[in-house]
Amino acid sequence: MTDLCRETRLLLEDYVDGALEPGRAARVRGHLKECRACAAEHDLAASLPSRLRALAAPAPPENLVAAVMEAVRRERRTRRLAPVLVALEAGLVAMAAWYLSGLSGLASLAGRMAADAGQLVGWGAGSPTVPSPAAGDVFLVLLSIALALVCAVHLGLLSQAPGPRRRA
Amino acid sequence: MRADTAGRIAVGDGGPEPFEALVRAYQRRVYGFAYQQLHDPAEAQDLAQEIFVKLYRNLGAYDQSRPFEPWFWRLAANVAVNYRRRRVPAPEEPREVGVSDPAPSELAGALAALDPAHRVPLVLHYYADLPLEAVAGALGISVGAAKSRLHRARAQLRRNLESEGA
Repeated sequence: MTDLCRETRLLLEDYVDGALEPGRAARVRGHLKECRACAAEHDLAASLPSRLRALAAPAPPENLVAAVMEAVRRERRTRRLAPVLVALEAGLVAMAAWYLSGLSGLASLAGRMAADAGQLVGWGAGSPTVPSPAAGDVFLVLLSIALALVCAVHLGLLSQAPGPRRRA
Repeated sequence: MRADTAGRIAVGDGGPEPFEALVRAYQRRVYGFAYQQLHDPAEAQDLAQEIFVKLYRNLGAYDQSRPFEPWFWRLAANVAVNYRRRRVPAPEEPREVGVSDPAPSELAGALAALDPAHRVPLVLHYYADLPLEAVAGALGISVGAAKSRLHRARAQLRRNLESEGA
């Protein structure tokens, strides 16, 4: 391939679109008359726009609109529910934070947990009294369960967002 | 219904019914656009659906004083690029070809193999039939830059086809 071939091939798209200045266009035209390889390249370049326009695609599936609208309705439900869920989560977290406020709160919780564990060990070892956790600990457990449930609903809603299909 | 009109109706209301009219007006072009990116009917449906859901989420950000089409196709192009980036590569397997699932031609295959910077403007201009100004708007570049990107993309496509012996 000569330098003129290389230069011509760089200019083919501009030449096909008539975007070259007359002098350069004449040079390209002259070369195309003499070089069969570059003329073949020109034919390919000239055919591409119409071939691209004629590319075939299957018709959209019949259920596309229904699937989109179902996703949109789900999106609307999520949008309406999201502030409620966030408020619930924030409220539960605030209650837990209030309950465990400060180092003294955490220290008291750790102390009670140790006592509960000790009672359980004692009960397992044959102690006749069944351990009874403090009311505050039961409250904290219920709070955690409620928070976990609300977060699960929230994550479930978020995970319904569309994404790439896992291909086999 | 003109596509631009559908876009304005949906933006003005935001409810599902006008949006459904918009989806109906655009479904063929959006699905075709998605298909030319992926060459897999099922994945094209997923991508088309993702484009419409993203559109619904972003309708509030649409500036009604500007044309709808470039804004919409810019969003569609971004969703397509992100979709392909997240896509899990599938092993190459021969597949059964049906009436609604045409085998990709050499040109379609070469087009899908182009990098997004080249593929997206080609699909928008030649396949989705957007004028040069709308392609420039969709890509967020000047008309001159869009024109030169289309030329470079066609040259790259031509080189790929030539190396494949088309």
